[in-house]
Amino acid sequence: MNLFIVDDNEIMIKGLKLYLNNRFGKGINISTFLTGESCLEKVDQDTNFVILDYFLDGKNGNEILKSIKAINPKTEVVMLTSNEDIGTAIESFREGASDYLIKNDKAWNKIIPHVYRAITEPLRRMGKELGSLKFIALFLLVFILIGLIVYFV
Amino acid sequence: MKMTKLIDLNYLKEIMDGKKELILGMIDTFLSQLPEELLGINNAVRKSEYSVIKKLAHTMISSVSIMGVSILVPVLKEMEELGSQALDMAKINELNLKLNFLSQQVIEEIKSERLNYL
Repeated sequence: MNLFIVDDNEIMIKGLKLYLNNRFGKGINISTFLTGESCLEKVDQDTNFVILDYFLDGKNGNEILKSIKAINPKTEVVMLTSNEDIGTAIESFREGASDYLIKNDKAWNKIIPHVYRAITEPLRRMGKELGSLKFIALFLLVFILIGLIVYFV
Repeated sequence: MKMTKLIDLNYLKEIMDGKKELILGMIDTFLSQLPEELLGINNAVRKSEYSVIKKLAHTMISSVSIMGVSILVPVLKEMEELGSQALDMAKINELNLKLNFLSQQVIEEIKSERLNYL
């Protein structure tokens, strides 16, 4: 999974990147950006998740959020900001943010379920598309095949 | 006279799962970034640039919070507020002096604490 962190504070970026890498290991590929504009240059159809600050040099977080969604509507965006203004939060949700987290000592923990859900999204989508019974049948078939291969080889 | 400890790395240790190499990395980044931020804010105060003071104070709040330097937070919040209102440069000056004084102690404490993570 490709995850972007956008914040104008290097300590915040470094800390959050270390935190997420420590928890998810090689499950996520993290890129960091000090400005929204530099992030937008890299957002594409393979960008799965963005953690986005509001107060940035240049365009603010909601403007960047809108641009991200224009490039790839499926990119999940979680706002992580010290901006406690309710109007700003409402606008973020209107522009498609999945969550609006205020920077405090609980905020980073609250990001984890969002990232976990994004990582497991392909599996859940596959389950839905195949239907749960078909998914179980496919799993059993693969399991039996592996068993047969191990037995005869 | 023993000075009160200004830093508390417990939050940093918690979010980094106590891993020494990660904590050391964060400490080094902070020791590199803080003097630059102080330089920036000192220049902004000297030039009476309220918007820059507001922005830098805001940024520094996040940095010092992660590093458990809560004593600087109210100073920075007040500087941020006065900067946003473009008010009372004399008060901002006073707060900036306090910020610099406390930051020197913070830097010394963190350098000392850093030895535990080598």
